[in-house]
Amino acid sequence: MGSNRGTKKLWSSNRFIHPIHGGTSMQNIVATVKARDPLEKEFHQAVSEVAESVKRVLDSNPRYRHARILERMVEPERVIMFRVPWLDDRGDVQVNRGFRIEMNSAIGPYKGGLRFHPSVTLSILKFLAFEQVFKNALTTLPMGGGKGGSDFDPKGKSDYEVMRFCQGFMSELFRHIGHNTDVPAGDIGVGAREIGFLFGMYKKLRNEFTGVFTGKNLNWGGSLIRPEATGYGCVYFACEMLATHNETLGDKTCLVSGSGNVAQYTVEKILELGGKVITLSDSSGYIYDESGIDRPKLAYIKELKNVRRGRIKEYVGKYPSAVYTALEPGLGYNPLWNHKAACAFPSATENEINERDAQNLVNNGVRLVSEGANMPTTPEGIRIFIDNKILYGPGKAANAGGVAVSGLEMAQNSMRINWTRDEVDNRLRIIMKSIHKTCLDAAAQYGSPDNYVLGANISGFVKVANAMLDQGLV
Amino acid sequence: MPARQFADDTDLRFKIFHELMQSKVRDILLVSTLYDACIIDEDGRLAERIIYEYRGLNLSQPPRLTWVSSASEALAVLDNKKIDLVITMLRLADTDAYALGRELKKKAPNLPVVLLSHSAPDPRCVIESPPRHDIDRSFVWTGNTELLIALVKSAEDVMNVARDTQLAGVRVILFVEDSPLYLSSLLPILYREVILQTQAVMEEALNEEHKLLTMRARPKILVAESFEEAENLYKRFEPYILGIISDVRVPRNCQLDPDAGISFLTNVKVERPDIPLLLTSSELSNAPRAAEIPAKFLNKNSPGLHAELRSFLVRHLGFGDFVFRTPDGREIARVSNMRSLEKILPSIPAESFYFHWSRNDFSRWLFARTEVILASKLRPATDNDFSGDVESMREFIISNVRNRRLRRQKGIVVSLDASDFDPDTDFLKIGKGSLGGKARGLIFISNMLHRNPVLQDKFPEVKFFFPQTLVVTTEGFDSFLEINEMRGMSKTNAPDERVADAFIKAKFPRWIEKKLKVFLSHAKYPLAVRSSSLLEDSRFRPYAGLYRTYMLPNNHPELETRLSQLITAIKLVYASTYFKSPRSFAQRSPHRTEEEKMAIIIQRLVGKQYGSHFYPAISGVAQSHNYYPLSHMRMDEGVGHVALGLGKIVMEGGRVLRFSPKYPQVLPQFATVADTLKNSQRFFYSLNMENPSLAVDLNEDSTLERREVSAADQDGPLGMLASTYLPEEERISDDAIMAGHRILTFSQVLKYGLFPLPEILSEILDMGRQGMGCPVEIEFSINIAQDPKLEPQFAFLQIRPMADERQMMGVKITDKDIAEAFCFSSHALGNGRKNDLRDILYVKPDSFDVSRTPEIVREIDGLNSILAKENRKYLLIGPGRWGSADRWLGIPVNWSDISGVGAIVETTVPELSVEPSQGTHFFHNITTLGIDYVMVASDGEDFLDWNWLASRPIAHETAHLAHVQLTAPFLSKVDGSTMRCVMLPPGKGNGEQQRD
Repeated sequence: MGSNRGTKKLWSSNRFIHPIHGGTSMQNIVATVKARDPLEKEFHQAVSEVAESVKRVLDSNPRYRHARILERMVEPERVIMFRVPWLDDRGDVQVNRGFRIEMNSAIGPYKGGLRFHPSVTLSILKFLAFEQVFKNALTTLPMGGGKGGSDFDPKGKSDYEVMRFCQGFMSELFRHIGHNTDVPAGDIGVGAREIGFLFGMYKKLRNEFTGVFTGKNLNWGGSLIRPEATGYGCVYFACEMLATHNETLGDKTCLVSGSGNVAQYTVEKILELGGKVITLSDSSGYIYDESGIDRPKLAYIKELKNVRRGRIKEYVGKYPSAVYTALEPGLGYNPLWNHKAACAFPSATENEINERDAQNLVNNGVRLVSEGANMPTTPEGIRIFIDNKILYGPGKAANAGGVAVSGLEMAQNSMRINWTRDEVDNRLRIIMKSIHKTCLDAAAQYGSPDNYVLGANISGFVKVANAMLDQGLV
Repeated sequence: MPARQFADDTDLRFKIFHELMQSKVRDILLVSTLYDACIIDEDGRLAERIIYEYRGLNLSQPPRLTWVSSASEALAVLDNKKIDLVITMLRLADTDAYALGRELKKKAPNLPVVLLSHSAPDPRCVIESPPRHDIDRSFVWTGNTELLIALVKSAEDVMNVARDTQLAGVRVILFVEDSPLYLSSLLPILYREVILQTQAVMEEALNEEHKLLTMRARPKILVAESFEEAENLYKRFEPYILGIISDVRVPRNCQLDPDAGISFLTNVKVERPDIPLLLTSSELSNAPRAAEIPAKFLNKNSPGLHAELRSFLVRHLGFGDFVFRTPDGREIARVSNMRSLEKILPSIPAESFYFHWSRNDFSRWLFARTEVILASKLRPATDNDFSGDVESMREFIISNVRNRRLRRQKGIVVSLDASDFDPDTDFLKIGKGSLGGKARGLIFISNMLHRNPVLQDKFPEVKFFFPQTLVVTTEGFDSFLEINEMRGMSKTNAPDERVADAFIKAKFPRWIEKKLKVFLSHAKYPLAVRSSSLLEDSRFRPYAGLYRTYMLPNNHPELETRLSQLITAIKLVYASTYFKSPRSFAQRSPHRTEEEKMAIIIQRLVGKQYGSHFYPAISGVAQSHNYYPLSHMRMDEGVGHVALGLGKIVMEGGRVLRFSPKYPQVLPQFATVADTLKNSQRFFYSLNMENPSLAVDLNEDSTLERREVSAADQDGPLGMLASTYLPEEERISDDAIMAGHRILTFSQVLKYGLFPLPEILSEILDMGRQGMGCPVEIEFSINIAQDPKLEPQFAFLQIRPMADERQMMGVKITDKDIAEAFCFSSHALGNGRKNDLRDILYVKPDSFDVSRTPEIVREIDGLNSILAKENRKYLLIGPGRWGSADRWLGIPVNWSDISGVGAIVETTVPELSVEPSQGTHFFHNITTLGIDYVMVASDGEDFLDWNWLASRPIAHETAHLAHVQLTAPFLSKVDGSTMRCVMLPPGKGNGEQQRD
């Protein structure tokens, strides 16, 4: 085949064109991205990671390269930037900038949070929006990807100032969003208060009550199970992984790290499904309770952490049979991961399991790791898990429960009903099952059966890519 | 009269009284022949006798006497000396009194000249002779030294009456008498009675100053010698006339008129039927004529003249006790002071009450007691004002007397009198020594509150008050040390427990104990026992907080037990003078422990009892200066710290709510739900009332309980101050009605105006700053109840200058400092001069990678742990927003990762060109710990000398961090007033390195 197979150059650039498949190489795609926006380091990193993870997909599917799927994906469908003037409490005029990156709507309306932070810029939002596309796709729910926000800083503002800003912000944004178009949610700096103000203004301007936001209060369209979703979802994913080996969580000893929202509800669901949890932690150290953390102890943890904002070491004051170990920064590993157990649920923070931790887990008989946190395992640690054939559920898939419940909220709003806790929980379980299957199928399809990492990276991409292909060059 | 006016007048009262009696007779010139002088000065001790008379009447400043024997000498004295009164005998060596008078009046027309003769001149001759304007008054010397007092007082009254009546409504007794003989006889009696009456009133005065001022406001006596003079004086001073005493026969139209007196009194009676009148005559036949006026009658020749005159004054002019009588004259009760009057009035039969009401007896009695304003308020009231309802009239009198009684005590310190203790007094003291630093602040507040009713006007729905306080002065401390021979304690090195034990076992001065017992018999509420030492004033602020404070439930049924607890607490506060901390501090200061003297403040604890716990709804501290202003706050708008419960948690720097009174809704520590949960108050202190017999010991917290906020859910205050956390929605609802976790946000107060706390604090900070002339710090407590019928209360507890003198002088940053500095910022939070940091941790700018911020956190955490173990605080320097939740926007440390930090510098790098965080992520920590937070902008004058930093030897290094340990601490200066900061290398700093 000659170099000129009728493939038209889409660009007049000095790029390498693949002789067989046409289109450009991954390096060139990344290079183009860097060249076009050289300061958007966060976006470069995200694109590089996705490109790396989906390379084999592109290699196996020439139509993707031919249609420049990845080149199209890295470019937002629409970027809206607008002015937001508002009056502060003293009557002085303030001006902020608002953004909405509508990244991709191939599989559903744009979906992603709004972030109010003084240093929000286009580049950060673009990178977040890009990641959101695949995160949402992974849920198997019909949600596209987007992100928005403003350089407004809610810290140091009164309630009325925040309200005025939100109303000013929505007075522009309302024309670009809708329950079938773009459905924002909360993020840093946008909590229940801001969602309320934003929704109130939207409703006034549009004269319609629709599910244009998720993260709403229960009183007016919010969904139950939202705080629990990530933790529950992580456990459901783990159950699905175990089910592939005809196992259940019942009687399994589990290590859980962290003690925040995700960890608490992870423990709660593990207990419900018959498992036993023996550890929890915070930034100062961890507790090991050989007898297991039962429901009363979990209730104590919830009160300690959610209300009293105490430290985990107070647990041993209440339950003296437990052991508290303080964190030693120079130790090189986390002793929490060095206990005999069957399952591990890292739910604390990024990079909390390194290579040595991973080896300790393997050595202690852990056969399943389901990540509740974002990127808690280092690449070296992941390598250990994969090499030892540990059932490893990456955070991207395992902690998609939170995003999934956003989709469930949209569904309830569309139907104008409120599901009970059990109904939402049940649907969440179904979604996690679906996510699991999607990942597994994708991994198998691309030659790495049981590789959930690969499966998660690929399945989201493939879903979106296929939809884009179906919908033509738009 | 509206309450505000009343308050103003009350305040004015003593201020105005200072202005009374401006003219005094200090120097008397006595002109007589040697013979006359010998007659007057029978035993050669006239001056002494005058002094004796003055003393006997408790009068101050007896006049000096200069005697000359001739007119020429008199005139010569006048040339060289200021004379206030000339008393001259009729015949002089070189001329007569009249000639002298003429000459004297030429020199000094206003100089009073009084003629003193040995016998009464013939009145006819007096009338017929040329006008005696050269002689102001004639008297007859009968050997009664009291006449000299009367002369002096009469002269003073003439000099002062016009001004004093105008200024303060001082009352006047008009005495119409032309006969020098009777004048000389009756005037001294009148003055004696007025002075004795005033002295009786003075006993009710609250302190020495009040006593002296009361005397100045005594009724004046004006003498008229003719009908015309009487009429003239009456017309001039009619509103102020307390009573009139008139002879029947006085000159009218230069002729002696036997009816002139009666005519005069009759005219007065027509015009002013309420003025008591006394007709005097030496002829008994004039008695019925007096009755026709009607007026009382006094026989000038009566053997009981003095007693009868006194009887008139007491019975009709309001002198002496207030005697309640029935209309038929039967006495049913009597009272001697206002408090007794207030207490007895409810039980006086309506008939008697109305009898006195209709005669204006109440106002007259009060006038006689120099209670001019109160009396003026009562006088105009008539039956019509109350539709004839006697009970309303009664209540009118009672409430006005009560208000007056209470208000006059405001703002002054009253010595506790065991025999006459008024439990309504705000500020009492025992002993004569100093009140100490803290107590002076309390007096200032009490004064400030009293003089500034604007606070009450602006916030009428709030009751502002000053909790009842008793101070045992430093005389008590001296007495205690004396009787126990403990003067040598200043040299002790004994541990605190031994010192305390010695003090507890020591004897307690009986004279103090007696008075404390009287106090405690009335004070049955919880008490705070605090130090108020000489060294605890603005100059020596570091001493504040070194001594003990005890809170006592004071609820044992036995008075002796309560007294014992109080005495033990006092002893322990005394003992704390010699505890280790103050001794150590004294060693580092120019002051010696032995210089220290301790007064004790015993103050009513503000709060309410909820079950077995006693505490106020809100305690707090407000400061004029905010060294951590955010957003559009200004430093001089001040800052407040509030907490549920006793103020101890605020004083010990616990987790409480910090806010700007001008922007109460700007709360960066509550920016998110997580922040709110983390930074809201979790614990509070209350006084345990469950164990009345609890022994007071060295542990000052033994009577206190530290409770979780959630434990107070059923008490009233929490419901008004808390919000509710709803975990299923991850939000906080600003009420305490919904089921959920209670979080102390004070939203109802700060956002929704349940109580005007921000406005009140702004107001009192302004008042305090103006009053003290510098930024101030004010402690307060608040009671609020859910029942809208119960008035919210704001109690002032303490005021002091905000900073010590060095800080008040400000931190000066000079050009030389900037030139020598390794860091300069024009936007820094904090204030003061520090040189306790030798370690610097900085993020290496060359290797900084925004994608590696999580790793940087781990490196910082590691180095922080090492330094924290060695108790070494450090300066942290790095880019972006420290503590940012987003790893791309800054280094996402938690406070635990940098817990050992002493100061923070936030820089900018190209990859992280972000708006400064102003420390908002750790706002609570940096403000509580006083950590300087410095932002170095990339443009403008700010700079950070990286070269200097890089050239320092490195103690530790990681991939992204360097740890430098300097050979000596560096100097950091933050000028809170301009928000500028410099950091200088060791050895630099204009020689102003802080001394230890």
